[in-house]
Amino acid sequence: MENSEVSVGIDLGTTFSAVAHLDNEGRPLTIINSEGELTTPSAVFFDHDAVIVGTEATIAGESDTDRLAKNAKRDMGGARYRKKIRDCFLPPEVIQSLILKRLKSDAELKLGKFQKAVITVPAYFNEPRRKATQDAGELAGIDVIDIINEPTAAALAYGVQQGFLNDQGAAKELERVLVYDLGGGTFDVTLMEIKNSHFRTIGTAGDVYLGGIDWDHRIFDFAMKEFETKHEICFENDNSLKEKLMNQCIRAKASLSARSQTIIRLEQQGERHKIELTRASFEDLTKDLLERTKLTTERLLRDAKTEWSTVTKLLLVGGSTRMPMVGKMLEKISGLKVDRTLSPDECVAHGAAIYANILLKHGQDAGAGISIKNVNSHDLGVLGIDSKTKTKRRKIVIPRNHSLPTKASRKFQTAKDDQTQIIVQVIEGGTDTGQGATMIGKCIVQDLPANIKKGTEVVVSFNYLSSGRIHVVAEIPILNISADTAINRAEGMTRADILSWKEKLDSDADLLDSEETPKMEPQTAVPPQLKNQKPPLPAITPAIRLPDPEKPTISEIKITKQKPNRKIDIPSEEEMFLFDETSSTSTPGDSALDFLNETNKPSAGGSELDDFLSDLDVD
Amino acid sequence: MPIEFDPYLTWLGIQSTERPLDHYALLGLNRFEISEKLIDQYSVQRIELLQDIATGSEQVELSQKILNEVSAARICLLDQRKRAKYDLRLKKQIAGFDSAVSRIERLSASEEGTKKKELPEPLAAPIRLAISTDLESKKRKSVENPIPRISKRKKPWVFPLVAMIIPLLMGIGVLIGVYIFVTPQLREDFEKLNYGRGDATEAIHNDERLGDPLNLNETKSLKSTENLTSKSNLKI
Repeated sequence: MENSEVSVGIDLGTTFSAVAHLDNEGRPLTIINSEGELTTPSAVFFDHDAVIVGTEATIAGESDTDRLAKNAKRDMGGARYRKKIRDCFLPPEVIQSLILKRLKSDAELKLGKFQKAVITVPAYFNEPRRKATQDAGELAGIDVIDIINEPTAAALAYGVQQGFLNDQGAAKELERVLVYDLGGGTFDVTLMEIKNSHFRTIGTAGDVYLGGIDWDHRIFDFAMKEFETKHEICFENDNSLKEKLMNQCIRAKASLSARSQTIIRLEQQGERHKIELTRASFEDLTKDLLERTKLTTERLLRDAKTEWSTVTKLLLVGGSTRMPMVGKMLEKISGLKVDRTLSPDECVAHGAAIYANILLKHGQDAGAGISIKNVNSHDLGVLGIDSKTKTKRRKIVIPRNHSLPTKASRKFQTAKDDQTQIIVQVIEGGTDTGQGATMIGKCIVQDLPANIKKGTEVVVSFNYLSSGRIHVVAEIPILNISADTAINRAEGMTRADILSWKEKLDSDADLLDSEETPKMEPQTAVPPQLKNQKPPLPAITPAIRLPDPEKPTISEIKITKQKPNRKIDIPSEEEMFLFDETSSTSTPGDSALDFLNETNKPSAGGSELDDFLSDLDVD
Repeated sequence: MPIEFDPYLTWLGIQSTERPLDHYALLGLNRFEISEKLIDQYSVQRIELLQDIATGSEQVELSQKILNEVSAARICLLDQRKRAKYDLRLKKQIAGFDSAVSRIERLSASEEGTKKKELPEPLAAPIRLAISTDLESKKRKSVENPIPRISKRKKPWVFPLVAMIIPLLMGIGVLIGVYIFVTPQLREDFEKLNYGRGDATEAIHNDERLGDPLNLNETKSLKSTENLTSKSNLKI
């Protein structure tokens, strides 16, 4: 029996996941899993004869940590999960798909068979990570009708429940919603504007590696020291004892949200020990973590040139926001009352279900549905050499928190006389010197004619489509030469990878091991394409555009499948740009940065897409 | 020999000579900076820079650790009570280094010239530390002289004198003790007195929880190397 009517939303979290659907009256309901819980731990245990997901996986993982995979969401967008599971690396998509499979089959007990669902992702997830999430859904046999940002989903759920949005997601008044999401493994804060049924993300900021886990670890470090000194328990090389203590610490954290003190118990070799922890000392142990979330929230408001007074709603998402210290801090800095009417674990899944319902009713492109505008969460720019200091410098082309789609261009200069090629390095994130930046692609103008003077103007334009595709064009106006590159970042797993993994996952047996014949051999476990591949390769499809066909073409684009992400191989200085002198003193955000042509600044607004499409024939 | 990655140098531009790091150095401030505005500004800048690095860095875990350190330093220095305690400890620590330096000087002066040039390695950094503080204290008049300097030329007769007085005092103490325990009324009073003291000792104990500011940094630098090795295993 196939239930095509049902609207399902899945919150695929770092530590916990939840599934919701809309009941007959259109109210979102969390689906209780087969263990009777509202949320399922995002943990996978690779047992000898079965793959276990959820609470049992964390319990089994206590004694056999090598078979336990958790927090795989942190590695999404990369080629493999951080640690080997039984001697082989798995793509994070596969681990996530196993969780999704369990969530789906649990939900099907209640809803009957279904295919379609909306899955949520953090607002800061870039395209590779979004694509990876979509792939994980496909591997699990889910038809992912759309991916929605977690804060957007949360705002939908709160809005519909509280009546500031109607059931079609339209706002009665203009709302500026700040969503503070402190989950298990990630923290992000997003500012959104809801006008009628238009959801516009104004900005998002976050710490990808900050979450409830860090609070757990603080208790763990404290407890371990206490047990060592007070009860002379030795934790060295005893991973299962550590895992046991960790689970106790997680429980202690939860109980400190309700009580002012708690007891952490530990049993070792039949002996029972306990230590005490008060809420006050817990807050003291973790206040630097809380301070970081506070600073990030303030940074977002500053970046968005907004103040607390303009924010109309303050929503808390993520189980970690149950800690009283979070609400206290936010109310103190914002002067707003924190909204705790919805369960912070469930509201994202609820919002996803509401969104699924809207999509299923209206279809994805119908104007009747809600419109969602996202932003790029990281600065996109070009890495070059500063003409004065001769050091590496990044020039931002599209600043972070800019509405998508968008386009922008910047002017540069060649670095020396008789340059034979120009390499435009496209980077995402990082600092002004390029530290921590992720190289996402290259656009190379090759075989330049001789005697090109140093300082020849080069115009670099970025066109960022809402699909995540970025077109980069490098143009030398006086020579009428240009080269362009499409960076398709959302590539993720190849079709073949997905099919081969799907087969493996469907047969189940391939992920298991039996004592006699290990079916999953390290050599064959990871499809060959994935083995050498770190995060998904940005596919660079070259295209040569000649503005004037009369003039002979001299430019050619070299297709370089460079090693993607993280490591930036810097070409020799000569091949790089020099920045315009005027820019060397400017700082980001300074208007002097946008030298020469002000109209080239990235422009916000709805008409952009039309502009873009009429300007350029894509492919 | 592999060059160890130094995030403080690479990311924050703090020279390797400035180790161990105190809160002020970590935030890029003058030692004992008193302006809360500057402390706020500098710490926010540091955190934002580290956040930008953390987004794409291979050393994500390391960046998280330093983010926490900066955040903790910020909290400490923006809290008057905490900062007063921290400053006191830092000053003591520096003074400790200072006296250690003078001890070394005396030692090496008394020894032959051959050993003179070999200062013990671990103390090399603290020497610089003490010197820089000296300069800093001149710069900042608002801060009272931070280093209670220990006289370099201690009188040679001080030690034997102390050595004689201590046993004498101990002897008197023992005598008083015996007297108290022999007299029942006095003994009762003493026990009461002792009970009253319980709170005071606990307060001291609590005070110690704050930890030793410089020692903290030493263990941290140890941890950071641990982090590095575990990171290299983690390479994705």
